[in-house]
Amino acid sequence: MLRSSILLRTAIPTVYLRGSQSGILKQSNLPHHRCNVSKVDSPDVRKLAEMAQIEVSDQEVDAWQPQIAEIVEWFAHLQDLDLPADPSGSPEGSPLTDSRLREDTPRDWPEREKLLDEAPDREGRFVKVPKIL
Amino acid sequence: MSLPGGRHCLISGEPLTHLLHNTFVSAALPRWHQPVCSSFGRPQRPVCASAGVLERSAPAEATSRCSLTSLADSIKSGKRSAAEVTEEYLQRIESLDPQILSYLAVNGEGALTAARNIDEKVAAGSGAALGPLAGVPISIKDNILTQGIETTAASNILSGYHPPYSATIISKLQDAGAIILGKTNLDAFGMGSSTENSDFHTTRNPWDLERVPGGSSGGAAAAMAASLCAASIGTDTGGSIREPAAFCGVVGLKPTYGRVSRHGLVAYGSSLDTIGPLTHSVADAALLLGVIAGGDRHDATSSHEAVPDYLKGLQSREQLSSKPLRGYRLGLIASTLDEGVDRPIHDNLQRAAQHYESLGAEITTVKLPMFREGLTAYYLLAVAEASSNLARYDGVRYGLRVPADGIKGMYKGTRSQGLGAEVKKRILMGTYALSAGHVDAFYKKALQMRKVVRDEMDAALRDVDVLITPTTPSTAFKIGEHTTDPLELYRGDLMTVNLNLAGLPGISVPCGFDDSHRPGHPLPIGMQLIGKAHGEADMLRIAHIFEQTAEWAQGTPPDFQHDVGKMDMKRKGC
Repeated sequence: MLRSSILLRTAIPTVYLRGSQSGILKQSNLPHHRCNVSKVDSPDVRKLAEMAQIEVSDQEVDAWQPQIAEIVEWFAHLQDLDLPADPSGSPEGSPLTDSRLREDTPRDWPEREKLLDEAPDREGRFVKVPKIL
Repeated sequence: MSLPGGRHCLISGEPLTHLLHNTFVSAALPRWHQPVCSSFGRPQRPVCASAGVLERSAPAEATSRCSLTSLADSIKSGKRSAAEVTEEYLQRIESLDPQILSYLAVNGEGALTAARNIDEKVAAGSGAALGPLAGVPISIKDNILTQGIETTAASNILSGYHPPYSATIISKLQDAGAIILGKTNLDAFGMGSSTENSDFHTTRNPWDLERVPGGSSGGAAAAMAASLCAASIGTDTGGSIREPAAFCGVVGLKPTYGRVSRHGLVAYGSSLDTIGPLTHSVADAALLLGVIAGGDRHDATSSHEAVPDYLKGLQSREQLSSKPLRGYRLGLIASTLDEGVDRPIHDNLQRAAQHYESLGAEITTVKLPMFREGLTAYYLLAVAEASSNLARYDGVRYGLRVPADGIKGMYKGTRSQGLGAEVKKRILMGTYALSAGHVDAFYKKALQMRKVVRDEMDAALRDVDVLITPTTPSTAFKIGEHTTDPLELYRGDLMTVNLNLAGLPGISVPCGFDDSHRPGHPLPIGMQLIGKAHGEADMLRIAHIFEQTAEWAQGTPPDFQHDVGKMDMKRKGC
């Protein structure tokens, strides 16, 4: 596996050349997973964790910061590619040809008690949570 | 025709027999290449229930390898008792799973109750009316909701969660008569390729207990390889059925996006997630797909296209002509056999291609320049969707809650304690990709790349019936080998993720072995076939014909092959 991975990395410029020849990719001398750093705001793990409602320890920040930064840089290499705009802009996992929406009609669900029982804390038919404000 | 190892092959009257022994057969057949069929080279009539093999007095191991259809038929006709069969599997789990750790929960009482219910119906004379999976014991990946059985998605945050309803596919399987043996291990929420990201334990590969079974459906694949269930249901967001199937030497089928309802699936990447079977044979996968496929009013993304009889085109070896794939065009994706693929995998894929040629298929090499680029777009979309989907785990309605004075403290405490490191990192990456100022540069770019990959694959599939790649660039790696560099691990998904981007069906079938890591200790290799959207029937047929004719490609783990003699039942089309 290790051997494969190293080879994979060395194989990457070839892919670039092919893409360039096909006119889809821009010429680039950058390695595949390292893009122009100036295009990437370095991820701030503490800020991201705050947005995602996750607590992170100092050790986690130290360990994760370089890992997440490396992957974000890898993501950013997509910016080096001259990609045709997707007119649909669809995030759907096509090929969806017959996706259908149904009427939004309320129905009684027989397992209501079981549903509520899964809540960590409840009072009657309410789910109980700590103070919000 | 004399075979290495002194066996003789009687070829007269058997048009395909010569295909089983070509120039690749090594001088001394290693143990795992030995015939799974006890009478290698002496084809026999199909060994079905009527041949007495499945009599009630059969030894416990006799059930493990027979095809699902013959097992269900033997139960429906009263030749075997569903409770007995279930009990045998439960005993196997009890004695063998402590080594493999494929299950997170075993549904012993529930399974036996359901099995006795089947037996009562058979005794009452209504056996014939039972479904195609009557009494067949199966396992379910633990990110699929099962009413009455704890469902955790292998995450602490759902530990102790008992779903108030079952996934649509569970109802369909139960309606077809299947018995749910238990829930199998996975990387938490499906995020990983090894089960090392399970919050509970790492599953072992039955071929080598020091190695991973692949993931995220690693528990399902390991349970199949060790015959701890007759069939298994997994999920595939970027290869999570196919990669572990390849690592464990079993069949893994990822259906077309929308083909199978996801109602009741613990969501990870909603535009990528699919549910499919892991089985011992292509025919078993076809049968299971037929049961679980179809539109569902509870899943607006499910396809209502008619479900064909996937078993219909699958002939047994004896029924095949000498060139059963004449007129078919198969496309080898060139870049997937380039650098970065282990040599034994490259060689076995070439061997498979030659085998297909000998079956009458035309093999072409297809260049897909963007194939390797899909990996980046895939991971970006997967983590973005995950960060959104996993926002629901907040300690309010189900699962873990860490008490705090205010609700924000409760959210943060719950998520910090309940979610594992890999899950948190992916949420943080997804949060980055979706945050203000980054959406255009990251998320939208990935959507554009998705379209490019999809168009490229669709165009290629207009010229060929299926595309072929290795399922993985390497065989199963050692536990702990990849924990320090996530990017290296992600690259293992190179072959599989594009199908999820494009929504196409794929199947991994066993394609020989690699013992270069440790001579005499084989690790399975998988071949991936990629079909057209809703083209499962053709894809399954092409995979099935390979399986029926390439015995060199298949085997069972040496330490779990006590029932290997029964393998021939599936191959002979029972």
